[in-house]
Formats: sequence, structure tokens, C-alpha cells
Amino acid sequence: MEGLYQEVLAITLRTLWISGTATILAISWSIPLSLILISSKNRISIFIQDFFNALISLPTVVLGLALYLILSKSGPLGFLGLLYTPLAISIGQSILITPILVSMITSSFQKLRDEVWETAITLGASEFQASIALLREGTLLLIRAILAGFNRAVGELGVALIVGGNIKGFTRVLTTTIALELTKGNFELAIYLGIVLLTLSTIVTVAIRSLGLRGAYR
Amino acid sequence: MLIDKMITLENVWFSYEDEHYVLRNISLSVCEGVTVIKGPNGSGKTTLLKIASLLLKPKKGHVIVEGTSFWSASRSVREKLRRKVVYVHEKPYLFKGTVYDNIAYPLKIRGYDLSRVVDVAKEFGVGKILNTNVNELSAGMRQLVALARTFVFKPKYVFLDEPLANLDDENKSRIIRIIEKYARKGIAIVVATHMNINFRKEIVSKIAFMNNGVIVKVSKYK
Ligand SMILES: Nc1ncnc2c1ncn2[C@@H]1O[C@H](COP(=O)(O)OP(=O)(O)OP(=O)(O)O)[C@@H](O)[C@H]1O
Ligand SMILES: [Mg+2]
Repeated sequence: MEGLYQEVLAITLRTLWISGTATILAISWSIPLSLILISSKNRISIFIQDFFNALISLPTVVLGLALYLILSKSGPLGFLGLLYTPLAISIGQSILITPILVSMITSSFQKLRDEVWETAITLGASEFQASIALLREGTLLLIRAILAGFNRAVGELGVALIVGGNIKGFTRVLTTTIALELTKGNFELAIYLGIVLLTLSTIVTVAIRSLGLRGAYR
Repeated sequence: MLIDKMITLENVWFSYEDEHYVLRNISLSVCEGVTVIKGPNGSGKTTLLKIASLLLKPKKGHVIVEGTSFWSASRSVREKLRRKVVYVHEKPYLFKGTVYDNIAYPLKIRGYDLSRVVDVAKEFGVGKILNTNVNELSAGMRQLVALARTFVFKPKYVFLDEPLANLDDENKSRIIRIIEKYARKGIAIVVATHMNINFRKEIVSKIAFMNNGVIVKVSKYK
């Protein structure tokens, strides 16, 4: 029982770490990209937004396969030696959740942008200062998008399995362990991990909902 | 009147969507004192104000600010000119935080001293609610805060969109008095409205009547 508990804890922490890293990576380019997209209301920007919207439902195994081909020894980035490392999973998941972040940020910021941007600019803000004001006014919306992305990263299986390789004590995360333990007939561990996963995503979902409500009563 | 001390629209055309012009061939200059733009709902007052306050770029024509054609100027020149001009929306957006935070905002981003905030707040009748969160304000209060935030940084050109909407009689006359006071100090104030506002005659420099995207008549008083 003691060993089981420690294993569940280790896998949970590793999952949070890997998917947390993925989320931070995705934030680092999704926020600037979203700000650019909503500040230029032309056809190209609308096209890119539609494109990201379509990518939200990208099957994780397809992304995993593509990354595998790129990162494998004979692939173009094979020399980096990233395949079957936690970083490979983080990178894969960060790509996976970028469309979610960009779509949620751009759509929820659109109306806010018109008001905040116009107000800040006319009161003398530079475009940079206006962007800061927009982020500050939209903090809740932003956190909401980030949580949704994190939730998707924690819960996905395809990328973690294909580019992570499910190596014990190294790249094994909640979803991949559940899949593996089930095939081995080890239901006990699988169920514990399933409960942890469900709890995590419920907490995040509730947080997203309640932030949404608070945003609405602004 | 000095040409280089004003904002002039020259043959301005504007459309939000392609092909449908909501402003057609507008020429108008804004100078010291109060300029009133009157017209029914949907006639283009707000659009005209946003163009003159440098927020919207005309599809055709020029916006000349103190002798410089604004949209052909470099980015740094544009930022400098823009800082003299301010537009107040009919339903103003207030930033999250307190009344004080909002009135201080234009001063903060310019790196100015914040000591004026309290006096200006008093002048606009919001001195007692400086620490109130803006979530808790009524529509009229929000309007007063937005106006205080506008005049606090001593702009040269002020564009007010329906500034008396939501205000009760006491606050209406308060705002009219304040507009007149700043106009007398040499600020150019443009007021768009569908109402009749009783400004003192000597303050009003011109009234432009709009209908369906064009200026149909201008009455000049100075
Ligand atoms: N964001 C927008 N997108 C498309 N069309 C718009 C937009 N804003 C205004 N219009 C159209 O432009 C025209 C002029 O609108 P505008 O808001 O300038 O009129 P207004 O005189 O300010 O009206 P009101 O008195 O109701 O405020 C209207 O036909 C309106 O439908
Ligand atoms: Mg209007």
C-alpha cells in the first residue's frame, strides 16, 4: 500500500510538472500571438483564428506521430535526442494546446479589446501600454484559457505515449500509466490514477466555470 | 484663429464594411470653444468623433492635426499628437479598480504627478467616492468619473459623445458648467448629441447638423 501511494504521488507530480511546463511554453507564444491577432482585424488575422479554431480538435495521436517522425533518430530534429524525454512530451502538449489558448483568448478578448484598447489609447497609452491594460482587464479570461489548456494537456494520451514512450520513473504520466496498467490487468493502480486524473480535471473545470461567472458579473 | 492650433477633417469618407459609406465627404474644423454636432441616431456622430479624435482612420480624405496630416505621419509623431486628443464614449469603459485608479490612469501613463487627482475628482462631484470600486457605480457616476479622467491631464482637444446621457438635472448643469469653464480656458471641446444642450451662446463656436452620414448645415458663431 505504501509503495502504491508513493507511486501514485510520483506519477501525479510528474504529470503536473510536464503538463505545467507545456502550458507555460504554450502561454509564452499564445498570448503575444493572440494580442497581435486581435489588434489587426484583417482577413489574414481572421483566417488564422479560424485555422486555430479548427486545430482544437486535432487528434493527439496524429500530432504524436508527426512529432515522432520529426524527433526520431532519422528525423530532422533527431540530433537533439529529445525523443522519449519529458521535454518531448511538454513540447508536444504545448503545441497541442496552443489552438485552445489562442482561440479562447482571441474570442473572449474581442469585445474587451474594443473597449479597453480604445479607452487606453485615447487616454494617451502607447500600444504597449494599451496591451498591458488589456491583459490586466482580461486577467480572469486569461486564467480561464490557461486552465482549459492545462486541463487538455493533463488529460491527453496520444502525445505522451508516442513521444514519451511511457518509461517507468521518467516519462510515465497519469494517462499513459492508466493505459498500461489496464493492459497488464492491474486494475487497482489504474483506478487510483483514474480517480486522481478525474479529481484534477474536475477542480480545474470548476475553477474555469467560476472564473467565467465572475467575469460575467464584472 | 490659428490653423496650426486645430484639427481639421478634409473630405473624409468612412465605411465600417466595404462599399457602404457611413460618412460621406465630411469637411469640418474643430477650434477653441465648443463645437456641437447634432443629428439623429445613426447619422454618424460617433463615427465622426472617432475619426476626429484619431481613433479611426478615414477610408478617403485627411485628418490634419495642427498642420500635420495625421495618418501620413510617422508613428512617433502620431503618438505625440494623439496625447493631446481624447475621446469619451457615450458608455465609457472604466478600468478595474477604484475611482481614484481610473482618474489617475492618464497621469500615470504619462509619468505625471498624481496630486491633481483629488481636486479634479471634487470638481466633477466624485471626490467622496475616490476609494469606491467602479463596479459599484451607477451609470451617471460612471459618466462623471470618465469625464474627470478626461480633463485631469489637460488635453487640448476633447471629444464628448453624448456626455449628458444618464445624468440627472443637477449633474447635467454641473457638466455643462465644467465644459464651459474648460472651453473658456482655450480647450477645444466637441460635443456630439441628439439633445438640445443649453450652452451659453458666447461659448459655442459652431453647430454642425448631421444627417445620414453628411453634414447638412453648419452654423458659425465666431
Ligand atoms: N462598429 C460598426 N460596424 C458597422 N457599422 C457601424 C458600426 N458602428 C456604427 N455603424 C453604422 O454607422 C452608422 C453611423 O453610426 P454612428 O454610431 O456613428 O451614429 P450616431 O450618430 O453616433 O448614432 P447614435 O445617436 O445612435 O449614437 C450607422 O448606420 C451604424 O449602423
Ligand atoms: Mg453615437
